[in-house]
Amino acid sequence: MSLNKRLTSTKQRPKATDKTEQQINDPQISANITMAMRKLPNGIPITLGFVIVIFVITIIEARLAEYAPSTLVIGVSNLESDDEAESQAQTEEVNSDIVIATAKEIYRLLTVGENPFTKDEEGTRLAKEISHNLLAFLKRSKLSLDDIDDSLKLALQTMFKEKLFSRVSNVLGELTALQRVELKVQFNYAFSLAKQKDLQAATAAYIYLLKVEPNHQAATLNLGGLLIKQEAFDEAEALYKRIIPKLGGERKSKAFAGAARSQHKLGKLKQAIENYQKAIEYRPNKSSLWIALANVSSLQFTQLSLTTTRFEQAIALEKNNPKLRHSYALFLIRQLKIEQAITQLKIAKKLARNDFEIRYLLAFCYSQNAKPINSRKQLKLAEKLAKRKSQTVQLQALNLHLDDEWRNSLELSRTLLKKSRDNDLDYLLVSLNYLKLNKPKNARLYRTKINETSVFYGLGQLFLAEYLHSRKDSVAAYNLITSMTERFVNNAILQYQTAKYALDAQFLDKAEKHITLALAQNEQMSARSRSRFELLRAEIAWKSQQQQKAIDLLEALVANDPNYFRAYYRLASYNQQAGHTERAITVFQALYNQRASYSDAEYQLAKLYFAEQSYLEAQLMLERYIASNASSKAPRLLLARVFCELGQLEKCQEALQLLLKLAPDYQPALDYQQTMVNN
Amino acid sequence: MKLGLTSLNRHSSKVFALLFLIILIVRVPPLEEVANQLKPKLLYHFNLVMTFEKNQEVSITTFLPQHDERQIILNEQILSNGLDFTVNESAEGMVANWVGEHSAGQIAYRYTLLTQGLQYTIDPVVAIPDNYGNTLSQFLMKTKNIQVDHPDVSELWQQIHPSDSSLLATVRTIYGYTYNQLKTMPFKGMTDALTALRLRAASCNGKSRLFIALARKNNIPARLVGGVIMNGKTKKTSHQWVELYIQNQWIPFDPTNGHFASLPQNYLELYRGDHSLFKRSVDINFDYLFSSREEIIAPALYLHQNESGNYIGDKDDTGNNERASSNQDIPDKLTIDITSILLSIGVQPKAIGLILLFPLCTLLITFFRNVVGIKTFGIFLPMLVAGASIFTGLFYGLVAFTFILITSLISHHYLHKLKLLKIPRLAAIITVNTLFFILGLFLLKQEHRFEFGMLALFPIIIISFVAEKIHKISEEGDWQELFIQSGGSIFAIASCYFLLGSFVLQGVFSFYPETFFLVLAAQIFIGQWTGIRISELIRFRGIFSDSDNPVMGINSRNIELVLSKNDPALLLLAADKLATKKVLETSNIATPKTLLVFNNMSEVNRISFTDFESFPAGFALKPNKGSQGNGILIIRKVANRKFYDVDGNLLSLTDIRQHIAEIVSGSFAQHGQEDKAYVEPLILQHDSLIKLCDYGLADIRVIVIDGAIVSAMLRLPTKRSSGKANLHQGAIGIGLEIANGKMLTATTNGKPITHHPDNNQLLIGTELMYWTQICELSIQVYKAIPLGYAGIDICIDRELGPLVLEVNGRPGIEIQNVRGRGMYRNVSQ
Repeated sequence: MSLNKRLTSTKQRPKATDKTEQQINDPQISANITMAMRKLPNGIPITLGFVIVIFVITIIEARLAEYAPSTLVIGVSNLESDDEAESQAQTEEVNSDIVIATAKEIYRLLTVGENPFTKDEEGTRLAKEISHNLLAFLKRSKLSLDDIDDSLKLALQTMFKEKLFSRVSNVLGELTALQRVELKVQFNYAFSLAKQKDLQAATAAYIYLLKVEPNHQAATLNLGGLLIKQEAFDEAEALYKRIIPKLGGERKSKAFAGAARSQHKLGKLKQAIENYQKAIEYRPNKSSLWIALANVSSLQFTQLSLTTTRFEQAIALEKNNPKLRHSYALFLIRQLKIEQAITQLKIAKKLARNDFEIRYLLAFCYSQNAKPINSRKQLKLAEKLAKRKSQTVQLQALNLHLDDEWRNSLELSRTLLKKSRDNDLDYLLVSLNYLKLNKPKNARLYRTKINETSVFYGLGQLFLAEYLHSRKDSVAAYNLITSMTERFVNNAILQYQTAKYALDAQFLDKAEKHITLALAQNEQMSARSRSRFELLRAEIAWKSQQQQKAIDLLEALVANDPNYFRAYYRLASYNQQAGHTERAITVFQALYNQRASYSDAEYQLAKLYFAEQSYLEAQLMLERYIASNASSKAPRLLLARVFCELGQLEKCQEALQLLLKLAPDYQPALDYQQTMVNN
Repeated sequence: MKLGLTSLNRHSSKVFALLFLIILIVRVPPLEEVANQLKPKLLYHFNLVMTFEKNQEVSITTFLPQHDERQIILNEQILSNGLDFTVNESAEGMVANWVGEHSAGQIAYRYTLLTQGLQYTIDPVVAIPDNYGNTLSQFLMKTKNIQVDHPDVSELWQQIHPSDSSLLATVRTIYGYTYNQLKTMPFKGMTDALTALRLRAASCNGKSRLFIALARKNNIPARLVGGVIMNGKTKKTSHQWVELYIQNQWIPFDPTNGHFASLPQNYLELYRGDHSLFKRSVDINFDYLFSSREEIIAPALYLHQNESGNYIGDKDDTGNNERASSNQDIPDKLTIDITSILLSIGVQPKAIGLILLFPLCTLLITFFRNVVGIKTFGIFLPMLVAGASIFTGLFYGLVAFTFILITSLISHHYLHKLKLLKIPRLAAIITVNTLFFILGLFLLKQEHRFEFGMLALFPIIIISFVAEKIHKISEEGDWQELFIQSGGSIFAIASCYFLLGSFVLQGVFSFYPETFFLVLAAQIFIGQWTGIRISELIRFRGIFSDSDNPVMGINSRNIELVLSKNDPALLLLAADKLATKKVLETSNIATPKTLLVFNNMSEVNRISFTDFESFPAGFALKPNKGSQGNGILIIRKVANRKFYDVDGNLLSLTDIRQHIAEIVSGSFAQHGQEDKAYVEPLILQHDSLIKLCDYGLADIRVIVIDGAIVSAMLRLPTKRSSGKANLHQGAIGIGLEIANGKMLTATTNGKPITHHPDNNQLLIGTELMYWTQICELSIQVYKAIPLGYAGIDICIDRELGPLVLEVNGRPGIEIQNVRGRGMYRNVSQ
């Protein structure tokens, strides 16, 4: 139907038209037109339905996804395994384009698999002839590539492989650097120079190569090594850092190691350690890296246990490395673990019998560990190994020290002190000798010359502290030694010694702290050593007025270590002082039964028996004791008293007379005699 | 019959639903079969990229995965970039080699594969054999890195060997030691067996070597296996484990990650033996990266066996299909499998998923729009973007979508300032987007270029169109609308993306294509649904409770009013304002005069000032097929060859010409088609309305249904609406009493008010002047243009009185909020 018809057709118009006027007049009608009033549904039910369907599908999908074969997310696995095809960094294929017409014979030999450059006369002659020919050609004419023959190219390559570096460098030296670079032999040239120890020339050659090929990995690595040798550590570090991101595998390890070496020399220990660790990641087989790591780590004063672990790992890889053992021993000496250092030095000595340094250090350690016989033995053996006069003097000085000829030892040691040497051990000996000569100020002077970072610094402090302690200046000794204990918290023996000094200085709470720290260490130490610690602990408790605690500690100690007589004696003594006479008697008796001659146990027991009025037992004890200790006075007096108590006045008198004969001025005896007279 | 057809039309959805059920029942498969059909597969996408220094002679060798029962290579792509590529099979594995010189500096190897996890059980009574054949002798020997005979290894075995000498006990002991006692270290270099033993620590290769050393020491053949663990990460690390020869088979053990006689599914085996994964020329700055990605796929995809039992995958970039046989026959199966059919004709697996599920996507979009009321940019644009995102991943797809949108907006803004016409402007936007797209491809890494190439499909073009619409919204300052549509679009894209990626649905549609009927049924149902949308529940929440006046939603308006009552020809007429005016004038209905009409661009080009000289008092320039006041330009004054708009801005003849050109090119037409521009005299508002609002032109919207006035409102412009009488732009709607034109209720932006926000004039309580004439006019309009459902816009001129501005065949439903009551009771059946 056309639009016009639509517009004009009456059929289309609904009946409502008739109501038009009516609706205008009766507005209510318009408001009520049609129909059955119904409310439209809203979208909530359908939406809910959709959501439920989606939810169900999601659940089904999730459940079915479980049937997709499961995957495991695996943890760390690391392997960067790349391998350079065919060649290694240091023996790079020569892409030489140098070709010189000659040596067909060389070519023939090489093609049939014979090596013409043998070490015999013929091989040497041949090598000489080839390089001569090469040189002659280069000298006589300008290089013409067209004239060069493959055979000589091969000859040059082979000479390089056979390590005939001087010949190779001679030949290549005739070319200009630019020519060498163009012919791709600059690397070989630099390498050959380095092998001939011409470090400067080799460095220059590598630098030139790197200007043209800045990413030449092998050249960069080698240059880094040369820079380190020439002590250009900053440049070496920068060089290695630059190349590291571009490397992989073994080369990356070498670069990290190079950077670490440089940083070590520059004193950047933390970075050196990190880089050594990274180097190890790429070459865990390389024991030298582990050793280097341990050595650098030992220069730090933190993370000592980690350094110990590193040394142990290095040793696990190279048990028979005497230098490693030596380094480890030095590390242990720094921590004042002399016994453990001795263990390492003994192994090192076995591995390197002719090493003077090891023997001398071992002798020194023995001397400080109360083993003079062992020390002398080592000094004697070291005499044969001394190559320099200074070494002989060192031996003599230490020998004199062991002989208590401190002044002579001192004078000899002082002759060793020279600016150019590492004098720390000698300073230490000088300081020690001064202490022995009772000159602490001089000793202190030489001790301060030992660098704080030195391995022997701690020993110097320790010796001085021991000296002060021996001079009853326990307070000063304690103050000096605590700086060491703060640094080496895990050193049990050091803590023990500090506890002793603190005890003597009447710093009882500090003594308690240190002995607790000593006992807390899990170091391997003998049971007896541990018993000594416990004994000291008991002593500290006793002096802190914790008598029962002290007694309890000693009871436990003797139960654990029944052969520790000193503990028995102390226990008995404390019981005696605490008034536990019966217990004291029991303990002394037990000690007496095991070791009758231990100290004055017999006498003490006799005293207790006397106090308990067991005079016969007391008499027995005293007679035995006096038989072994004829000059003892108090026991003789006690014996006289025993006789008197037993009513044996004659014997009493006799004993008294004998005593006064032995010691006429012994006042207690005189007083007793007077008492007898008066009575 | 007619009645039957009508009834059928009404129940179409049920018919299709029934059809679906019947077919399903006929085919009814066992549940187990259904489950098997829907059970997904786990696929791995693996990528190896190798880089090296450009313009260097290179030789790179590596191992490619073997294709066997455990590892099925489905899809291989080799990017050689000009290097010579060869593959050789050896006992150790598939050795691939690239040789040559190229400037690209990069090669890649990508593949898709299916793998299987393995789990073995070893009988405890199995003993270690005394002898093996010669072929196994190499697996018992010591090597440089596997120091079988070293005293330290012997000592270790002395310490840990079990009392039970059975094979199982021995292997357990070795495994237990290497797994539990050796600390795992992140070594990147090679560790031999001895070092691992001494350090008591090693990485996977060290542990494996020690394992092998101990196994060989006990006369158990053992070998190293190397590969990669596919854990979804990008990394450089490969992995090594061990295989022991037990009971005539090689059984895997991994002492690093703790797998005893088992191999997880994500272990990719590359080689056997003590090898390096890469061998290459020196000094080429070689580097590499592995990356892997899991994908759960519908079972039918990627897997299809021909009669020979070979698996079929896609071809590689050289056209070869070396890993699987090519050109298969469709198997003789009873089960319908659309995926197989599409695969066999060469359709890409991912594309198959899209083909199968696009109809469902459309249903989803339909549901979102018609039931929920979610607005999006473009109707099916979200579906297309989601489809492209299947290749790029949702995140990158959304990023690309946003990026294209932003560049389109910026381009539109710039080109708009250049005063380009609509079609050239759109073409330019598409060109700009394409340039950005190409640039993006250059910047992207090679392995992602294919996926992003998918974005070259419809989305770029469609988004460019959509940008026009977005630009309009942003120009109008309707940021809330922009935000709502943006959010709706993203939500729709994400929903479609997840739907398109569902392997269950892919399986369902593949094996049960009758499901399409169900989808059709649902689409028809929703298409015929007249209910209230969820968004309308919120929009009309204030008036829902009035059960006497139920709310009419858009669906109802469209189906029960517009489609049912409005003749399409009359709708077209109503859309054509000039034609409408002609009809109204014929019926002596008062409308504004038409002063000028510009029909096409040639007329536009001939415009001169003389055309407007005679309108010194101003005029209104309007698009013929515009809507919502868009494109209307009001000129208040013409003097000295200059034009002054409502805000006093000076416009030149060029500006006027440009605007007319925009109108004629269709920039403001409802459907973007070419249009006409016309000029009317400036309507001066009646004093009674000026009192309420002294700028802009107020109008009265009268809703007429079947010739009866059912609702009316007065629309007052505000500053916020920029002088336009559009409610959604901030104009005020005042509900009118039909009986007497009394102003009953006033709202703006959905909120009730009593006074005008700009001048504080009281808006309710008074009667509108000329109300009776307005009503009469409305009825006359109905008689002249008998639209069953119409919105008649009438203004009141100061001198001429009520004038019909336009007739709207699809008037909006916001009048319900303005009037404060629903309109559904007025819907005739």
